[in-house]
Amino acid sequence: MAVGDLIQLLFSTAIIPAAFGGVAWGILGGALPGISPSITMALLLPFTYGMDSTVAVVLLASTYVGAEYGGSIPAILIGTPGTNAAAATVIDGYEMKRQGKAGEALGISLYSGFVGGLFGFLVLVLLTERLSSVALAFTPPSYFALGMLGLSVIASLAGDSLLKGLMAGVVGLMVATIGTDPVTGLNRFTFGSAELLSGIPPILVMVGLFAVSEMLVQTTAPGWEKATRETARIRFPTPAVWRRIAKPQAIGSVIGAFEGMMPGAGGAISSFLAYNEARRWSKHSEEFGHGSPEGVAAPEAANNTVACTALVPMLSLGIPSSNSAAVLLGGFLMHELVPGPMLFVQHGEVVRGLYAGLLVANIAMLIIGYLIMGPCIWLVSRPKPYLMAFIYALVVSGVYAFQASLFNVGVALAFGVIGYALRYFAVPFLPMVLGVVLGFMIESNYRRALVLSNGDLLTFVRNPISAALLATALVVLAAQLLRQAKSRADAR
Amino acid sequence: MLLIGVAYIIVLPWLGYLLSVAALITATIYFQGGVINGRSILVALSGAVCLWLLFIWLLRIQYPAGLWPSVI
Repeated sequence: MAVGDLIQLLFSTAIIPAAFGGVAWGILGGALPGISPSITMALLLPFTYGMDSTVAVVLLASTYVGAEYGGSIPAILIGTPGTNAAAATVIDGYEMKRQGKAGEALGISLYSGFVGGLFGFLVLVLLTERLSSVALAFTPPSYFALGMLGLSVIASLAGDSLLKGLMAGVVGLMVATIGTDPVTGLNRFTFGSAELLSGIPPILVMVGLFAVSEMLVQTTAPGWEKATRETARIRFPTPAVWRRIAKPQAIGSVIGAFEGMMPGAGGAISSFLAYNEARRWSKHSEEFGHGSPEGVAAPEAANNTVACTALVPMLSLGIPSSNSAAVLLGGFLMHELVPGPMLFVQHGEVVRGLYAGLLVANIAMLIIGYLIMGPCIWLVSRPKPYLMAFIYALVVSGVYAFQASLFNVGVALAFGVIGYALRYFAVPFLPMVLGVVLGFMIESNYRRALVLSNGDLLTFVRNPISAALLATALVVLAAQLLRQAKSRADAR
Repeated sequence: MLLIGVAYIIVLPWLGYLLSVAALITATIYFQGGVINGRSILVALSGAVCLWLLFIWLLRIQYPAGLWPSVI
């Protein structure tokens, strides 16, 4: 895309305000302990329904970028990570705050997030379209197999129990079958309800599982420490610190780029890996854990890189590699944008707009991150009951606003209860979300392939792409089973 | 929390958006361990007004007006 086209694109649509707004919302959401980037994005989903599709996806993706930085604010100021990915930042960030260097730590975090975000953006732009062009040769059997490969991601998301992950995935697939049959047009599991004819929109599942269940969990969670305004004036790194943190930033960016594209890895794993590698390669490794600027730079660069590279498999193949990417996928589907090769052909302007928006979002993060510090501290210091009450009101109001339906509010609350139960029984709920968002693609292409082949199941193995994808899915599942068996044997 | 949400769904068509959401905020504050006093009610009312401005005035979402139009 030429620079002139980029400028025209930026100013012809509301991409710039969406990027700034998304980053601001993301930082505020990420700064609240317990409110993860995916929850912050899920809260925003209903609002994006009536928006122009490019603006909507830019808003959601920018929220992801902002939330990854926002998580570091309470991590540094009150020793409580706002997001899972910011947990590694607590180690040295909070130590720096105790040494009276909170402003410097926040500055390093913001600047490293910016560097990581730009690196991730470059990887995203360079890899996504090339990867998606492979999928131009896809036919219904290949799409079915791709969906199955997407579901096999469950294996790496399931944690200690593959069985629990598969159970959650199956429940998600079952939810996806509610509504009108895509081939015969018959009603399924609607129980005579007109509201269920078009199925359960993934947005309601996501708001329920991520946001409502978190509200239920927060009821019994203890409150968090308050931040003070005087500790939080951002100070950008001096040239000496700048030079010192360049290497950990590079380490964090490279690790974040790889981990972001790996299914199930996400920001938390990449930031701890980056922290560990930065310590291993540092000349001042003894300072790690005692307020090292490098210990803040590496994880923050990593988790902001992930915010961009997690979109590579999501955009090119329609496979979300993290919770936040799954919510973004929900946003795409809500606007009838199906990620994959055809997205670049049919909705190239949306992809170009998203790229432009992400670039703006990373720059906006530097500006908003500096300006929003006061409101963030004010927000984090509010009494928890007030904050939770307002978020709950925002959730129920936003869900109603999606289709002006009280039925939808009830559905989101019901999924909140399901999410709470899943958390209680330590069942990961991303597999369920994957089942819901991939269910339609898997079922419709499976049945279409069978219709085209006169019911011949071997069509899935005769097609080379389909066979390769199904084989990869089996390998992923088998590798996870072996890993579990090995860890059980080690435990004995 | 869940019951508060269910109660909100039930009362919204009767009370209208503003009062229902203020009641939801008040009930949630209490359930989350807060104290119901003048301050919390003021927070609930101002929160409801903020959300009313956002959803009804700015985003033009049609929420149930409740029984108020017929009473007035």
